[in-house]
Amino acid sequence: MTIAQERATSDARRDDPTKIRVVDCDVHPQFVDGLWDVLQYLPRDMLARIGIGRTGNRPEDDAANRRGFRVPANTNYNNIVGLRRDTKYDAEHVPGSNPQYAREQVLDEYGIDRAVLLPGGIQGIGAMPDADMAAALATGWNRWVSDHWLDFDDRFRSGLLIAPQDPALAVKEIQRASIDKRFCQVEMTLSNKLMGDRSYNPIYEIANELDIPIGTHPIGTEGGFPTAPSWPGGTPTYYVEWHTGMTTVYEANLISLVANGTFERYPNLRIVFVECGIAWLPNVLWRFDKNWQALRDDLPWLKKRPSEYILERCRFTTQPMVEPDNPKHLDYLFEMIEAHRTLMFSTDYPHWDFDNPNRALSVLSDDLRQRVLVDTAIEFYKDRIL
Amino acid sequence: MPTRTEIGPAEKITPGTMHSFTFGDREIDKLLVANVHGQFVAYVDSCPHQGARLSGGTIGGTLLESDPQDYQYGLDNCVLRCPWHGWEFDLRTGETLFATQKRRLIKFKTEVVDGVLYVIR
Repeated sequence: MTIAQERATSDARRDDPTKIRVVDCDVHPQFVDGLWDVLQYLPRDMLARIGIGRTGNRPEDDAANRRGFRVPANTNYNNIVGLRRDTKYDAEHVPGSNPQYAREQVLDEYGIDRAVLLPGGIQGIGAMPDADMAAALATGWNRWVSDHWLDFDDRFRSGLLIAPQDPALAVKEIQRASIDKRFCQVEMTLSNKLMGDRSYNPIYEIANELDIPIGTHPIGTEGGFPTAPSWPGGTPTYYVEWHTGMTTVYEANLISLVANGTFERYPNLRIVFVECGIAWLPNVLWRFDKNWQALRDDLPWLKKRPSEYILERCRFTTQPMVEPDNPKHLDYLFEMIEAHRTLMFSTDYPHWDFDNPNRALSVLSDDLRQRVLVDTAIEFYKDRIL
Repeated sequence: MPTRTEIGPAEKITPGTMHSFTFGDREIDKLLVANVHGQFVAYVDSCPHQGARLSGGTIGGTLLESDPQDYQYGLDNCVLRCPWHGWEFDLRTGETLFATQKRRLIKFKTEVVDGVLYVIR
């Protein structure tokens, strides 16, 4: 029986928290008219900085400037599969840009009761040298997603996008937007500093105070700009090489958070690594613990083993689920990473490597499935997912 | 006992195109029928990976197996690409193109009688 069929046969009252059956932690709403969808939410002075709406501008100047404005993106590599072709509701529109169609294809099709919306097409703002413009775009996205998606279906929740370059501006945006509890996590896109850097502490402090988790997610800019997360060892040549090796960037960020004592300093802080992979995690847990036992005084602020901070405070999402030839290896992996408490379900709709929950999660035992599909997410997001 | 299922006028499925047909509720009742350089092929319209409707994908060519940094385009209009994870299937055989542990689509015979295309299933 599929998840949707199970739901159809049970009581489907969505506002009863015990009836949340599935939480999808990663759905990417796409823009209808490119960045213009978000630019419309920018204040006039910021638009004027990019040549839009200036007195004396001819309309074609504005149109040209609208089309010409870019944020850093994955311009080094070409993925011809890209977005799922079947998420276009007609030939004219971008896949994944229509909330009605997304509702049918994701929420209704798979019986998903909550879907966390994360940025698509704009998360490269962390690599913008102009911190003020990056912050304005983050606010613009938050307003856009609220108007066009969160208001459309009460099953949607969203990341609260922040640009990390100016933590004080990021804190202001968190304070503003988090009042709307449909923003269930702070979505921290990255720059060229690891997440444990102390300059980010104001962001962690406000998240700790508000008890709102933080999420991070691959961007597309990794290794592509000096202002973006750097790539270990050099620059990959091909898209598949880049996509496969990207987990190393997030591995480094996780280690940085623990090593800098971020979880020790902020006892409520919880972080989800969305679409960052899981199969690299056992090595980090074991290697970090072994190093810490020998060199405890290098990080004297850690009161417990590094693995304990990771397993208690960090979560990871299922997509893209690895597919080893021997399915038993997946069971071993789940045991090693304590998947019953660390793993949360995601589809990554409408991207090419979308996971069908009816197939990708068939490898989980019934108990683990329940934890992964909903229980862990409810514990992680608390009242913001209800 | 296999039966002949009528698809329709063969001329309506032109080379390089595919169409989907549904004859029931089961997965095996959902077919895609394509014209590969004048030959008609029919398969169950479901990707063996995660069950995507292959008829939502594309038909085209691809880069063939080669030596490193050598690029050869070929199999024009012979390759069906899944709309979800991009798996490539040789429409002539229904087999995946990746080198090892190939997967295969469920294939049906076709025949054209008096200009009408049938699938034997």
